[in-house]
Amino acid sequence: MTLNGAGFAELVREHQSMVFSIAYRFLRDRAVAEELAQDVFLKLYGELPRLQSPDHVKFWLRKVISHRAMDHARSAHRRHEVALDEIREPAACPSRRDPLLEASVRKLVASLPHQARMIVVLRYQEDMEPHEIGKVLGLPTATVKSRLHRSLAVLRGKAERLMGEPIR
Amino acid sequence: MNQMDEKLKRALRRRNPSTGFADRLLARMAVDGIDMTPRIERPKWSWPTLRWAAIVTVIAITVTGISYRVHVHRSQEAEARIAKQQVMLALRITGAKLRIARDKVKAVGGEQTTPGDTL
Amino acid sequence: MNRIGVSLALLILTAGAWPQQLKMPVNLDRLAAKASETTDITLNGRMLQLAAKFMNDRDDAEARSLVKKLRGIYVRSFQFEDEGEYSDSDIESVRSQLRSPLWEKIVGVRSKREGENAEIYFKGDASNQIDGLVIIAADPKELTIIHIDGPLDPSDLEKLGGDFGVPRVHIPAKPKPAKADAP
Repeated sequence: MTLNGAGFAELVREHQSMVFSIAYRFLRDRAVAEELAQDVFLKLYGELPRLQSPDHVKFWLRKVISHRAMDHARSAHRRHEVALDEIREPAACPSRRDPLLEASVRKLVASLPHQARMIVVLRYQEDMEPHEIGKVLGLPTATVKSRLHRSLAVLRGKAERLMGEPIR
Repeated sequence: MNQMDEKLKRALRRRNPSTGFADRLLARMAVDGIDMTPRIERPKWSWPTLRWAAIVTVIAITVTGISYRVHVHRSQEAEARIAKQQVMLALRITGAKLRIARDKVKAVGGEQTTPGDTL
Repeated sequence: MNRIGVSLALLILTAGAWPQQLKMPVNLDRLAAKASETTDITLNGRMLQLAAKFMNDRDDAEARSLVKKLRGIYVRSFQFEDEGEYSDSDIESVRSQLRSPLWEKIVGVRSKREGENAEIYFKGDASNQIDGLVIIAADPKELTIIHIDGPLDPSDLEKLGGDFGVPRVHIPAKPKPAKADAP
């Protein structure tokens, strides 16, 4: 693909929300997410001649920002990955009608191990199917499905304890 | 879609970066010397236009010396920032590959394939 | 000239015949055209010193002390959509440079079943210290070649465990060469 300056700017505006949001939902740090997103778009400009279509661009952006965000989490936090069943629950116990419920759900997601967290973000933010997530993260589809299934089970259990009632 | 799926979709919906994200990116690319400016149409020339063009040119030349020094400094800062990012990325990749090699060595039961290959 | 002198002379001549700089061959650049993602990092001494000047955060301290000593960091990493997009001969042009007496293969792990290979080489200087590191990681859909040029103290590598993902590395002390028999 080749684009002039205006075309590239348009491409950035089209995808900035997707790229920023993947990093932001994963890292929960707006400033870092913006910085990573900017880096990815800078890299995109150099890669454009090798990308063949708008779909290829979208795939490439999702792939690179996912990996960059996970790399950043690994280097920034320097902590061991925790098993899914060792996740700590957030301290607050929000009311069902409280808008902070969504924040609590995000905290639960943020406490997942890196790869599981990214799988959940790509599934629920980007509405991607497991085989698409597998291609982006370089994982077999079966692995994505099983990690997603386990993550949801853990999230559901933690959320039910927070809410004090079962969640379907 | 069940309740958990709905909660997750709502909680993880896309958010926008701060206003001016694309403009800041383009400004950064300009500092880095990547030419992103669109072509502008040539104006229709007339004598008043030429006179004003001459005045603007003189002013531009006068301030160029100052702005060039600022540009060089900002360029170096931008260059260093990018170099730092690349250094950190290179070290992360190195670490990841060393870790993989270590895991592979462990996977063969600690059997040393070459002397001194404990990782 | 006696036999030891001849051997020494040959060793010196041979070492001198090998280029000090590791060359990233042209065929690696051609792989970029086939790759779905390419990481290409070339940082010479000047760029590393420039980067080190801006690594002033507390978190950067260890990286900074490492980077300041180095002469270069070079990374070529290619990810491919399909297997079989590169061959062993693509890597051979790098491996052949590592057969010089300056380089020693420290790790060589090959998994035939998964097709994954990992090799690590160290370069020694005149005083037997590590003066360079090369990693070749070859997976079915990813090829990564890393060259770090410059002194790497084993304690530096050990201290970096966990930071930027560099694991703790134990470098065993090289055994002292046996004394040559008297002629």
